[in-house]
Amino acid sequence: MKNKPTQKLVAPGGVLGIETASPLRQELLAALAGSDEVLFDFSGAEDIDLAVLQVLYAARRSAELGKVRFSLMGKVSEKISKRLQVAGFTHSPCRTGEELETSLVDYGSATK
Amino acid sequence: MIDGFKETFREEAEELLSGLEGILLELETKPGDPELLNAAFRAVHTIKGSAGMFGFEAIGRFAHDLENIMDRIRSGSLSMTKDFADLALSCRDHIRTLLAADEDPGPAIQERTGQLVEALRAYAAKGSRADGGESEAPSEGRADALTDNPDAGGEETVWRLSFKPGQGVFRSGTKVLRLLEELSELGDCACFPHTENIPELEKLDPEACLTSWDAIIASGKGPDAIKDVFIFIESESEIALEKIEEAAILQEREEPKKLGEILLDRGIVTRAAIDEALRSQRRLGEVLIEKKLVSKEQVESALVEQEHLKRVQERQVDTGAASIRVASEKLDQLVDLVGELVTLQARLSQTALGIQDPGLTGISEMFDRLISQLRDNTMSIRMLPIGSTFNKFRRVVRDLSLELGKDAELATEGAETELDKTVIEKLGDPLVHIIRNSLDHGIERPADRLAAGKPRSGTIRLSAMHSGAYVLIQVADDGAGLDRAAIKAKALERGIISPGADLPDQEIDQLIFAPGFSTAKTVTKVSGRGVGMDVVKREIDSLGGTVLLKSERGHGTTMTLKIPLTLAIIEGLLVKVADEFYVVPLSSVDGCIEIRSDEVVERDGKRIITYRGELLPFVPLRTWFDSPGEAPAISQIVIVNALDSRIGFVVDQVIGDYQTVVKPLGRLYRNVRGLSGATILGDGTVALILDVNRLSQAVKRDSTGRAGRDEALLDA
Repeated sequence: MKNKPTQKLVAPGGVLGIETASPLRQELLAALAGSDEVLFDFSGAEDIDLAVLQVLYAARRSAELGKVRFSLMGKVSEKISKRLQVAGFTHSPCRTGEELETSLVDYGSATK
Repeated sequence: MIDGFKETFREEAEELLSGLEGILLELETKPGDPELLNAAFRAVHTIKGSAGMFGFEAIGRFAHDLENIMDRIRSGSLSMTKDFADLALSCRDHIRTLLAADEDPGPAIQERTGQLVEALRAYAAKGSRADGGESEAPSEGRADALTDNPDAGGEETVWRLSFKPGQGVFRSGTKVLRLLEELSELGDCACFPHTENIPELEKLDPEACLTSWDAIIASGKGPDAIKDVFIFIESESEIALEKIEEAAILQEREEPKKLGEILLDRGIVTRAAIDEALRSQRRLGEVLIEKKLVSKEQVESALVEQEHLKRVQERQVDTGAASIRVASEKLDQLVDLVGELVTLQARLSQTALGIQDPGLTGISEMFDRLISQLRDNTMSIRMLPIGSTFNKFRRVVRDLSLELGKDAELATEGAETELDKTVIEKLGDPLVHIIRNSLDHGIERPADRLAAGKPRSGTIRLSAMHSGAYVLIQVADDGAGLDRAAIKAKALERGIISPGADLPDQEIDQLIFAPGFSTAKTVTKVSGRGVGMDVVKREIDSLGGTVLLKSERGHGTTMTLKIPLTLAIIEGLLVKVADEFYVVPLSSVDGCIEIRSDEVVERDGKRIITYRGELLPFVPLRTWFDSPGEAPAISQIVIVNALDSRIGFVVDQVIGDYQTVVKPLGRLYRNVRGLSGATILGDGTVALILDVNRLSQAVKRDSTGRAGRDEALLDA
């Protein structure tokens, strides 16, 4: 009998800066190891820095290798959307995590 | 062809010099303003560059010396002082002189060049000593080292930036994304991040920066400004900045850069590899990736660059299309041709009316509407904001107040008010005269002002505003006001007025416009020669305008010039006297009334009518212009506003409004009083255009017996 797929939600809040990167990496590592799907919710995030963005790219790469689904979701703040666009990570404004997932440059193909 | 380029250079240099004058004057009040310093530097830098390109070597060399000092000022190694503002303004004037002298400056001009260059170098030397720098004047070579950077500002240049932050930058608290935002604030920027070095989460050091960027930026700020963004992490990062092309040159490329060219420029692939890949007739990027000659990211980054360059190129083309430079003679020709069309339309309309064919009438009406739009559009092309001349006046006030030992400033309002370019050109001299007079006669010396309880510094307010078909230009000072007693005494002395004449204030004020009139006790370089205000009056009259004067002793004088918006095509009222047609400018017409010959009242030898409860004088044009025949039993009187009063002109018939294309009268008729021009009617007949201001003045003078004409006008 097949087990029910497990889902894990990671929803950090506030400013996602360098000090968040390390604990977030730990949380995502644990989530990816113990779930079939990990959801990263942007709703509570006010701002993001490169260190955390790199963690998301790395998580996506691990998920692809481990055949785990890693999805972005929730409302993306205007500040984050603009910041990513200026740095060239997206070519147009992204209002939701879903939009962001399909727009991030070199982010990788969706893992089913 | 090269002459055409030279002419363009001259026009552009004139514009830049005009702008530079305004900037330098503003710098006197805001000496450290970096934007102004940069703008001044850019203007001189552009003149220098273009001068060299078009063979104006003397200008190029001279501008180079000025540019050197300006660059040192903006970089902070020299300070901006009032002395330098004076010197820079003199240099700016000298560049104009060199421009006018073309390639052949005479010995006097060359000597002046030498003096100014010496003064510039002396300033640099003084500045260096004052700042604790070297004690010797900088050699040209040294100054060059500071400034010979053709891309330091001004022209937009496209740069390619490769930015690889050091892995430890996060630990020093650097917010890398914020740096890219700062970069994007310098111009049109496109970034491409390289994330291929980011591993899986298990292997990731979350405190290591593993992303790098390729960026393209089109900016006029220069390489230093771009590098400055990364100044705090420069030592631990790899930053390479490379100029791709001047944006303006990019515009001249017929096609955007190809992917292969970009990859070649970046040194990623060789020409041979590209040629080989192209032979396969497939997409270059795909082939190169397949052959592992480039990575997918490198191709994507190059595509971002290609897209960005295309955008810059398009923007340059758009900017070019938004405004084009056209010789003003061509515009004048266009206005003339539109004038001919307007005349022809009048003829068509008259013919259509005679034939009574509904089809033709319809076409004529449509044609009429189109011509009217065409006329308005064409006239609007010739409209320029009057502010373009304001800088000149600011300079006049500055230089003259220094010369006269007075303290005054020019305040301006309504610089955006638009006027026909011909009118603006003709307004320059009269306004300079008025402003000089305000400064010389109006504004008091600082001590006198303080004694009178006024601020030490006087103000001359120059303002412009639209008022119907006119522009009102006011020059108001807060000086001493007109000394009517002195004016009257001078007028008596000169025999302009008779002893015992009891003149109202308004008429005394008008005496300052009499030829040769001056109350100045001493003749200065500025005024007192009695040349000026009469010239002002004459010039403004020739523009179809009027001058109004208001003065209060101790509080200042306000001179208002009422100038028609355009001189080329006016709306007129067509009237007939005997077999002749006249046009009265519609903007002066107040109303029309019928009059029977038995309704005329005569008072003190003047013919008077009652109009809206007011007694007005009137003049039969039949008599004034000696037209043959008898006046009809019932005539029409056209009431016009002339200067500050109203007057009626008796005509046989009022025909109606008429779009009037103004044609100048020949030399023979130039001095005929009361006529300002002529126009051609639809059937080819010539109609004369009345100059209502001068006509009413002439009539008034004649009727009071002060000048010229005999009593004929009263012999109706």
